[in-house]
Formats: sequence, structure tokens, C-alpha cells
Amino acid sequence: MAFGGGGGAKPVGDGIRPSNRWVPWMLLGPGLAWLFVFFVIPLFELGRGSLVRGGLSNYSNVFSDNGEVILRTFVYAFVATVLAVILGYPLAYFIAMKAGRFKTLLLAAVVLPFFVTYLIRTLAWKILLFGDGPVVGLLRWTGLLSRNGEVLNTHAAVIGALLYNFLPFMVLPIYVSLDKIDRRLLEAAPDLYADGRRTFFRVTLPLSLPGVFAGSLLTFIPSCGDFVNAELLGGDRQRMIGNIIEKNFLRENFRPQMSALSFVLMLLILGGVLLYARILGTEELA
Amino acid sequence: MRKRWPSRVLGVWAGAVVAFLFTPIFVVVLFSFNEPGRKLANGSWVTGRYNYKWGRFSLDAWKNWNAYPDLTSAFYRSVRIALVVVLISTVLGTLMSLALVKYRFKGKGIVNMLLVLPLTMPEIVLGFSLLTLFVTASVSRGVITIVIAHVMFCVSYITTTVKARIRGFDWRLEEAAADLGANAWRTFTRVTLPIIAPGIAAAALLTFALSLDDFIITYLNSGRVETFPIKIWITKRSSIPPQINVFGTVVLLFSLALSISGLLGQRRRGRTTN
Amino acid sequence: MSLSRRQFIVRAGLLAGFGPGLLAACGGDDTSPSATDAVADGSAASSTGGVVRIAAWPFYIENDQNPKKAATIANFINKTGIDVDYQLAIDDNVSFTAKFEGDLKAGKGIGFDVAQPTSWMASKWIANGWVEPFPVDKIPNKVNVIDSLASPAWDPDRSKSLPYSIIQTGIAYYPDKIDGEITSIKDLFNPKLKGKITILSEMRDSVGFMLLMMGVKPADAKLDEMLKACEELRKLRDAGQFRKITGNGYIEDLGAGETGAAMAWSGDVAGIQVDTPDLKWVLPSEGGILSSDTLIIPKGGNVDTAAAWINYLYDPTVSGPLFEAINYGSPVKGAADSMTPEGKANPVINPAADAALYGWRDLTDDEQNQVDEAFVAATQQ
Repeated sequence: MAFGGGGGAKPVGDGIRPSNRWVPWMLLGPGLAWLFVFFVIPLFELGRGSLVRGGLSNYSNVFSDNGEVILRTFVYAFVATVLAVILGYPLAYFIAMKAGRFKTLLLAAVVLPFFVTYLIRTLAWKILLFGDGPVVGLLRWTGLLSRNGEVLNTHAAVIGALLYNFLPFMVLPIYVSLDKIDRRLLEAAPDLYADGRRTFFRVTLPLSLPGVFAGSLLTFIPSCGDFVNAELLGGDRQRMIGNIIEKNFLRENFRPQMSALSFVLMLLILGGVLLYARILGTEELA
Repeated sequence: MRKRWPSRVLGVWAGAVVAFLFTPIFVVVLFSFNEPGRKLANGSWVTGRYNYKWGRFSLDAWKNWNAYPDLTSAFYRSVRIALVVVLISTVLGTLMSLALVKYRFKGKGIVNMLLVLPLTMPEIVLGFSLLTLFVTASVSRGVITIVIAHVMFCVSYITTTVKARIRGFDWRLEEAAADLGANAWRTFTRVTLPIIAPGIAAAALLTFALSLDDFIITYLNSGRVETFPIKIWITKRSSIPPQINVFGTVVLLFSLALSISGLLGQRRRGRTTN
Repeated sequence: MSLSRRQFIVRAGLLAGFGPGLLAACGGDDTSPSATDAVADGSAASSTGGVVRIAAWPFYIENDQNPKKAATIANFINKTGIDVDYQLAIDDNVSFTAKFEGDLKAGKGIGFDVAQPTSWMASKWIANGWVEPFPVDKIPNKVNVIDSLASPAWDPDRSKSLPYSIIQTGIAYYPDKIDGEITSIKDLFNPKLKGKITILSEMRDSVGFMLLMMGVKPADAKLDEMLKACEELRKLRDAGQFRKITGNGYIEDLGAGETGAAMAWSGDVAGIQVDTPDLKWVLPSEGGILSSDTLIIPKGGNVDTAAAWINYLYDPTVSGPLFEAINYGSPVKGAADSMTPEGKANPVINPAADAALYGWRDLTDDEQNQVDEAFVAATQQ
């Protein structure tokens, strides 16, 4: 299923063959140069740096030293992503299908919180989750948490914060794919299936999967590389890959291992993305 | 149509999620009116260091928003950096998107891929690899490396956004202008630019927000320079003044004002075209 | 893969019509670009004449939230006309040093004229040639340094460094949060407090505590004992004893009342007392760790303004009130005479000669590397 890029009909004017074939390259030149020097070369340097001192053993060390943290990172990101689908899909569906004239307002409401600095809003969660704060108070009162139980420094706190911080990245793409669905399809469907639920599962859901796919990546990828949430809301038992890199990134002795760790993170994510694309059948990915 | 229960559940669910999104924002605004601290036995008030627990209501942080000059200057520094980043990345990104939308050429696929790749990498990888380059080349980190890093990830955003916005543009208008005797520059400024400008403006604004807010990549490449997020990160060890929340609230209000005016503008435009 | 574009279209749509006034509105209000910007790209490292740029630990001046309003700094500016740019740049020794190691090795300035690494780290900076020698004639107050710190092996004539402070590492705790009192390191490491305590990412403090608990004075510890201490720390950590292992950042959660008990530096506890009246400080029965942070002039720093600042700090009438305020020991002779009677009698500031405080000996490079590696493996990974 295509969702953007060059897929679909070519709009008017797309793809003029220039009289001078250097024109596009001149336009691309400065931007490409920037990306080449400050994105491609650094990745190459990172790869090279990961093989300094110890070569491939740096990689096996990464897994033996940080196996638990790597696993935890991906579990956190995965759970946060799944929860984001569960929370975000109905919201996106509501905005696209039911919100009527409040559509734009609701969309703005989804985006607006993200104009408050990332660190500030994460600190606000900390305020909410303190031992003598409202959330813990409520949970203790309802008995969901023991008298000495706490929320900060738990897996739930970090996953919840990741979920919170990247939820709009889930809602917006799903919204777009739902919004694009031809309403006539949905109107015709009841005549054929005579059942709202079947309409949803047979028509709406499949057509919105590209949005779920995009949203999942936009939630999963930044979650994997984050250290702010784990640092602010988690403790020693909640560290993620990002925290390890953040703690050691400048120590010269550790740089090869940290480079290897970054590389592993990157490769695992790319692998995961490809696998996911395969499952959902998005051929445009490659 | 009569509302069935799934529809109602959906509405409640959507409302709850929006409430979830706004809960910490509410806290941010609320705590800008906080004066942390406690009352002494003799009735006088001592102000605390950490704006974490509710002390008492106060307008002090708003009145004395500039009480921490280092915090203020870090905020302005972030704004200045964001402006430079927007300038550079908008120019680079717009040129690239023009090339990608207007022309057909060999290697387009690779260029598209190169543009999307930075968006699929976690920030920590982008930041750390850039740092590795700077360390290898023995470049001191500072404002310049921050700008370099921000432009690196913003160029991709700008290009993809502008590309999407100008895809439908009828480029024959340019040819028409040229036929009417306009030179290339005139054609660009009088015909092309006005049409692609809204798309660029929107992308530029997004970039501004991204740059202002970026922490992870900046943190790895900033040397001793303190941007606003870095200042918060560092200062919170010893104090969290409510002024931080004031700045956060101001940025929020500013965005709110912009989106309201944007919505109103849209509605007005919508009415005139109808 | 253009999947992310959609989302940006949406955002772009929302943002459309936001008006170009934004950029103008945001711009250029900052009429006084601070010195930080000037030095940011390393260009003006040593050319500025009128400012001293200080890299400091938190809680090291009366008012580090607003340094210019701190009495010590304000008086300095008044007296000398030299401006002060005070940054809380140090969270722990290793990360601070690592941050600038590349620049220091390349012989470049790091944008600071004065830094305060702990003595063991200062000795490394000096050994590596990363410091500017003191212009001794511009620091006449140097003679005021107390005898016990006047000539360490790594800087016998104190021509490149002077102590800034004398620190006690002890325990801070909330009796009500841990349901009881703490009197010893053993209490702190008691499994009863699992997940409630924090320790420091400074090797000498955390390993030192463990050594003391094992009954070994850090100054007499042999390498295998230090490694054993690291191993013990690792065991505790694996059992979930530590809530966090941090640099000076530990103070944040302690100040918020989230940490039950913490391995803590004496002055920090006083610094947050306003927020935390219930917080108690104790020197453990096994003993506390004694250390000293050290003033140095990093390579490329402005020697003149740095010397003025250091000389000023070595005036006992300046040092006395400052260290009484920040609750650390002053390394300046006669400083106690400028303190109030309470300050003078405070054992955290002026400990008795027989207080159970133990410093480390100077480690050999080999010992340092081995223990460091073991400590990082036990606590950071």
C-alpha cells in the first residue's frame, strides 16, 4: 500500500526534464552537501569509531555489558507504541469521522501541548507523579498502589512518559490516512455489509493502516533513542540505551563501545522498520 | 441519526486522550503561579529552590520574569539560534524541494532516501555520530556546531514539507511569465515565490519550533553553550525557578495566538472562496 | 520511505497562515549578548579582559540560582570591575573533564578561566599540562592556605592550584521516609532501604564508603581492597539497593523529598534546607570521606582575571562568610574568624581535629585506571 512519495498519479508539472540537466543538481547542491558532510560522514565516522580498539569485540561487549538495557529499551519503546495506537487511533478516528466543525480545533489541541518545551512538560509529569502528588494519592486511595508504593522510578512512569511525549506523532498520521478515505466508500459499505463493525474492519481499518504504520515508526524511533524520560522519571532500574550513551559519550575510553552501542541501536531499528513494513505490506519502504 | 453506544464511548475516549495530552500543560501553567517554599513558625514565608511542590499562589514569577538573567539569556540564545537555523535550512530545503518537484533526473530516488533517513534515526544516534565527527576533526563545540546539527535535521523536515505543499503547483505559469518577457529572477520573485510562500512559511515555523525545543542532539554537541533546554537541564540540579514555567507558558500562549489567528484566517479565506 | 511526511503536512496545515510576523517578534531582544556567546566558538578564549568565567559545582556560592546577586560575586565585581560569568558546569569530575578533554589536548581554551575539579582530578589536569601556571605575584593571598593543604605531592609549591573547599561526604536522610534513623554506612546499605537511597558517581566517595564499611581507611587501601569494594557495590546495585547513581544531580530528588537517604556532600544539604526542614545530616559512625575541590586555571583561560578571583577568595574576610553560607570547610587561614559564632562552632564547616573523616591517598595511574574501570562497570553500565 502506497502512502505518499511518488505513488499515485503524477500531479501537473511534476517532472519536467530540464533544458540544462545541471539545474536540479545546482538546486540540490548546498542541501545535499550539508547532509553529506553532517549526516553521512558522521555515520561513517561512527561506524569506524565503533571498530577502534577491539574491533568487532566491541560489539560483543555491547551485548554482554548492556544486554539488559538494550532489551529494556526496545520493550519500553514497543509497549509505548502499542499503547499509543490504543489511545491514539480512537482519537484520530473521532477527529476524522465525528468531530464535524470541531475538527480543526481538536487537531490544534493535539499539537498545541507540543509547543511547551519538551523538558518542561516532562518535568510537569514529575510534579504529578511525586510520592505526595495527586496521581500517587489517587492510586493509593483506590488501593491500586500500596501505602508505600510509588509511581516515579517504575517502568510504568517511563513508558507512560514516552507514550505521552510521542502520542501526537501517532494521532496525526492516522488522522491523515482516515481523513483521506473516500466517504462514499463508507456510505456504500453499510448497504453491502449492513454492519458498522464490519465496515470498520473491512474498509476503514485497512485503509488507515499506512497511518498506523507511519505513526508507529514516529513513536517507536524517538522512544528508542530517548534518555530524558528515563532520567527524569525513572531510576537506576529504568535506564535505557540513551542514558548509557549520555553518561559515557564523552569519555574517551568508552567511545568505541558507545559508538558500537549507537550503531547497534540504529541497525536494530532499521531492521525492525523493515520487518514491520513487510508485515504490513508497505512496499514503498525500500 | 440516533447515537449508539460505541459512538458515545468513542467520544468519551477521545475526550480522555485530549485531557491526558493537556494534563501536564495545565500543570506547567499552574506552577508558573507557584511560589515554592513554606511558612515558618513565626508566620513568615521562605522561598524554596525547587518548583516541584505547591507552596502558595503568587504572581511573582510573572512580575519578575527576568529575575534570573542567565535563564533569560539562554532563552534568547535559543531563539537566535532557531532564527539562524530557520534561515539556513529554509533556503537549502526550498531549493531542494524545487529540484525534486520540478525536475525529473537520475538519482532522484537516492536523494529522496537521503532526505528521509535522518528522520528515521533516533536523535541520540544523530547527535552522537555528529559529535564523533567533531571530535575526530577536533572542532570545539559551541553555537556553530549547534546550528550545524539543527540544520542537519531541519533540512529534511523543510524539504519534505515544502515538497508536499508545492506538488500541485502548475509550473507552466513560470513559462507563461517567461514568454511574457520576465527574466528568471522576476519570474521567481513575482510568480514562483508568492505561490510557494505559504508552504515555506509553514515549514519554517515548524523548523523554528523544532530547533527551539531540541535537547538531545544539542546536548551532545553544545560544548559549554547553554541553550534554553540545556539551561533547564543544568540548573535543575540546584534550583527550578517558576520563571522556567513562565517562559514555557509564554511560548504556549504565543503558539495559541498564532493558531487562533491561523484558524480565523483560514475561515475567512474559506468564506471568500465560497 | 516518505511515511513521515503526512504528519508534517498536517502540522504544516495547522501552522499555515501563522503569519511571518513570528520571526520578527521572536528576534533580537537580547541587547546584551553575554560573554558566553563570544567564547562559544572558542575564538575569544583568552582575549577578554574584563570577565572571569567560572566553571562551578552547584551550591558553591551563596546564591547560585542568581550568581550576580551572590554577595561574594557582587562584591568582587564592585571591587575589581571584573565581570563574573558563573556556570554550574560541573556535575561530576569525570564527565566535566571528558567534556573538554579534546579541546584541552588540542591546546585550545575551553571557555573557562577558573574551574573547580576535585584534588585528584586537578592533579591529572596538572600532570597533563591542561592548566595555566598561576601568576604567583598576582595572588599574594596564597600564603593564607592552611598548612595541611599547602603542599600536595602533585603541586608541592601550589604554583598551579589552590584548594577551593573542604568537603565532607556523609549521609542525608529523612527519618519519616525511612521509618527510623541512620547512624552508619551499614544502615544506609541495609536492604531495608532498597530502592530508596542514592549514591554518588564519584569513585572516591562511593568506593570510599564501601571501604569504610569494610573497615579499611581509604588512605591505606590496597588495590585489591578497592576492587573488592567495587564488587560489593555492584552486588548492592544488582539487588536494587540504589535508586540512582548520580553526580551532584542527586540533590534534586533529595530536595523534592523523593529520595529517602543519600550519600551527600555537606554543603548541599544546607543548601536545600529551606525546602526540606526534615532532612537530617549525619557523619556515619564508620567515618566520612574528606576531600577538597581545587581552583585551577584551565589552559587558554584568562590568567589575570582568574588570578584576581582566586586572590579575592583567599582573603579570609571573604572566605569566612562565603563558606559559612555554603556550609563547607574553608581552606583559608583565619576564615573562621570572619564567621559568626554559630558558623565557627558548626562541625560541618569547622570539624574537630579528631573527627572521623578520611581522605584518600594519591593513587598511581595504574591503580586509578583499574579502580575507575571497575567502578564504572559496577555503577554506570
